[in-house]
Amino acid sequence: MTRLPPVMIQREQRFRRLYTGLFVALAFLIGLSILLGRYPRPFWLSPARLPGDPLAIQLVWALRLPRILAAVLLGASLAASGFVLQMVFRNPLVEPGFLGVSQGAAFGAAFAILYLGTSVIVIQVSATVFALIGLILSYTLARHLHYGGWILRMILAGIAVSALFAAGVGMLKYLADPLTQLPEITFWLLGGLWSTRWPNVLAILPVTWLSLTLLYLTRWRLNVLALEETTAFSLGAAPDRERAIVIFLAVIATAAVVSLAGIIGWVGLIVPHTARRLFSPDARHALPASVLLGGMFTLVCDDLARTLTAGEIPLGIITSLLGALAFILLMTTQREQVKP
Amino acid sequence: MSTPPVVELHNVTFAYTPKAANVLSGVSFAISSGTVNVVLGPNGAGKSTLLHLILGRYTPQEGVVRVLGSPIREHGRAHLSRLISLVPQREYVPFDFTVFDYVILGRTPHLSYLQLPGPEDRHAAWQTLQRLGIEELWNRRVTEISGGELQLVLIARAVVQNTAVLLLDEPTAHLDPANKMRVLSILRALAHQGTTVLFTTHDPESAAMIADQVILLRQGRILRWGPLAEVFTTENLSRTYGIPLRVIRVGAHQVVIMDMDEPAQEHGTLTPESNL
Repeated sequence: MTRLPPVMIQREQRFRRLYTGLFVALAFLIGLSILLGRYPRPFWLSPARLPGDPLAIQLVWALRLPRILAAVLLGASLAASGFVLQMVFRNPLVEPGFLGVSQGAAFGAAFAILYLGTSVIVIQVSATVFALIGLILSYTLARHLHYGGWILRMILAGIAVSALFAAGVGMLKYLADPLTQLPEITFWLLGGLWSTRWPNVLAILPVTWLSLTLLYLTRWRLNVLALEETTAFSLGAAPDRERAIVIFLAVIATAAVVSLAGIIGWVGLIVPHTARRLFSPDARHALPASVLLGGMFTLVCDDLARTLTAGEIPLGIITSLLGALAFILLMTTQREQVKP
Repeated sequence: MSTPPVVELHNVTFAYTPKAANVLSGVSFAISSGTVNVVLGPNGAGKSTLLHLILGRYTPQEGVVRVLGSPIREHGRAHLSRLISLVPQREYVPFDFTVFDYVILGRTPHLSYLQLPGPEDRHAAWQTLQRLGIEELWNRRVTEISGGELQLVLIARAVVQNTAVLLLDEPTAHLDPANKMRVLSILRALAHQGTTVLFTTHDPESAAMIADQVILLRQGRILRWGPLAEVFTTENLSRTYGIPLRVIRVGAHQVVIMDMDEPAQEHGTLTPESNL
């Protein structure tokens, strides 16, 4: 066998170090988040205090841990989902929130709250079904638009479909009982994790875990699906069927976390961009990096949401603020070529 | 003539939709192992469609495409991707993959569904880059290299696929003379090493330089096909393109020039049928 150049081996080693760094950083952030909060005083719970304070233990176990886990799952799923949609649509500017997926899921959740009862499973299934409908509508509409290139058309179609669902949510809000149903629906629109307890997290854990695992396993195929249709075919792929499978996995993960946290924007766009910058666009590296970075990003955002003020800042506001700023920064200094 | 054909088309007729006009009508030809075959014809003659049919992407309404003796359907998609590779005409790459990561994608047909490329695949990719003389590009971004370099990278990805047949769609269309020479000599070398090469072009020069066999296509029909020396004539080329062309021998080479002295209509009005 020929010798590979040393630089190539150095690159592999650099990626491995980066991974280790990301894992360590995530573990550190989780540990730190356990101690962050507004008890016993703003910002900090000393670990020394924990053994002798039953209230602190109860607080960490029942409130902070499920919320931390939910934040990590949320970011990991949204980032993975965004990454997958970007690959299979060959479009670095899409994310679940841009394609009618998140708005569809929110509509599905609101619809379930109003008409199908508030069972967690029912809300999740309804959110998933409408998230898929949103995606299919966006995709179909994009194919029929007579304006601009493929990337622009998908974005325009996504905006239109999201607006339709947003109008639908508005209508449901109008019809909702202002005392019981409305607050619950409003919660989806703001986006946040303040009401997260163990049962909520455990309800979405199987779906997100399964989806992320399967996407991770098929990450090489994602590279192939990012190629042009005919090229993917010539490499032995069944582009239509394989795309449908990974899109479905991405959407069920998104719908699950949206049914838990509401619409959380920008994570699915900004995190994959960052992952591609840090590693390479190759899904072998960029997908797991997106999962780790996504988990970290929403965890930090949620820490800010619950500790900065005595009240609670909606998580969606913080992710949008930080995400949009980071996006502007990346887009003005970027290497990726986007043809509108 | 003793070796059986690697790819054989028998009376292939194809239209994109049942009601649409035929893109290809009654196309038959055969190509043998380790040869360079060129499909020559004007824009819109059906050259790309022909490649897609051989690739198995489209199914003909009539007739049959055989690869290594068996009808294409009997091979199955995965198996076919280990027999035939394709270099597309142009490929828009939305992500800035490195050249190496892009080329190694050609190993996909040799991996099982969930398998990642291993050390042998990396070596195969590296060897191919060396073979094509582009190893210094390995860490460059495919979005940043020149058009000529990208063409070589696309060829490298197909070569890494290690197939019996290599199809190329207009591989020299956007290249300057130096890059065109480079690509053509690579194709010649691949054929010498046993790969069967079939490429489309609207440029007779490319065909004249390396073809063993030429297939002349006009309006979805084959005008003539056969060895370069027999088919590559002033009369055949003029019919193919519908304009007066002249084939001139310069040393060992054939050169095609446009014959400005002859009126164009004389050839332009000829229909393929009348010449069959």
